[in-house]
Amino acid sequence: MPINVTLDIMLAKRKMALNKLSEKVGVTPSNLSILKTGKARGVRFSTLEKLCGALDCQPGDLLEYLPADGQDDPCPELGAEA
Amino acid sequence: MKLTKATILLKAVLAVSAVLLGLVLFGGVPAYLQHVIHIRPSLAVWDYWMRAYATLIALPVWGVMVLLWRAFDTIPKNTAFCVENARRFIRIAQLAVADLVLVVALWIFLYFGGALPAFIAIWLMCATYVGIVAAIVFYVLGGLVRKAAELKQDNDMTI
Repeated sequence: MPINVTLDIMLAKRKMALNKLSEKVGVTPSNLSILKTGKARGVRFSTLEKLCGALDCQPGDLLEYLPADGQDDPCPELGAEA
Repeated sequence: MKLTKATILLKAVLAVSAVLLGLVLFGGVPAYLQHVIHIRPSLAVWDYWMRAYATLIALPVWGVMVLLWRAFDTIPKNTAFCVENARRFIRIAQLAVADLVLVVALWIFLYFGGALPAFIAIWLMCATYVGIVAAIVFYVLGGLVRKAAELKQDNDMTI
């Protein structure tokens, strides 16, 4: 899927376990696991808000766009700047 | 009315319908055939075949009742919108078509055999109409439930 959820990276940065995050945001560990492993079909804004609040980060820290094979990078100038 | 109570009522209707069908098949049909043979003894040779035909036409109806019973089981469990139910409804439509073919075959047989009294013709007409309606309705219902199952899965997988 082109949209990748980098929840595991953020959890590692904040040194937080999945169960602890689950208690903070009120989402079951199994649902968070679905999100973490990229099996989710979508994320509600309300869930994203709670995750950002619990992990003290921005939505962009949790989601990244990976173009599918063969597609050009839609923002080549940003890639060049980085 | 809660879903559990509604499901129990639906299943009760199915159970009563199955019993009624059994009474018609094993009581009403033989009694009618005996009456016909009494009036026209030459038709006695068809007695076995007509009973066999009546059983054959009842089998898909009982099959439909079994499928509906299993579909109704999913309602109180909140899993009614699932691919399995969509398949059940398509299968019911197929059974309705099978019964329809049998009814039309009997209609043609009796018409060309010159043994089609008015009330039998009316019964066959009603059975044909019910078969067509059932096939169309359950085919459409199967498609709708499949679409709903896909939407539910999308919703369930949206965190």
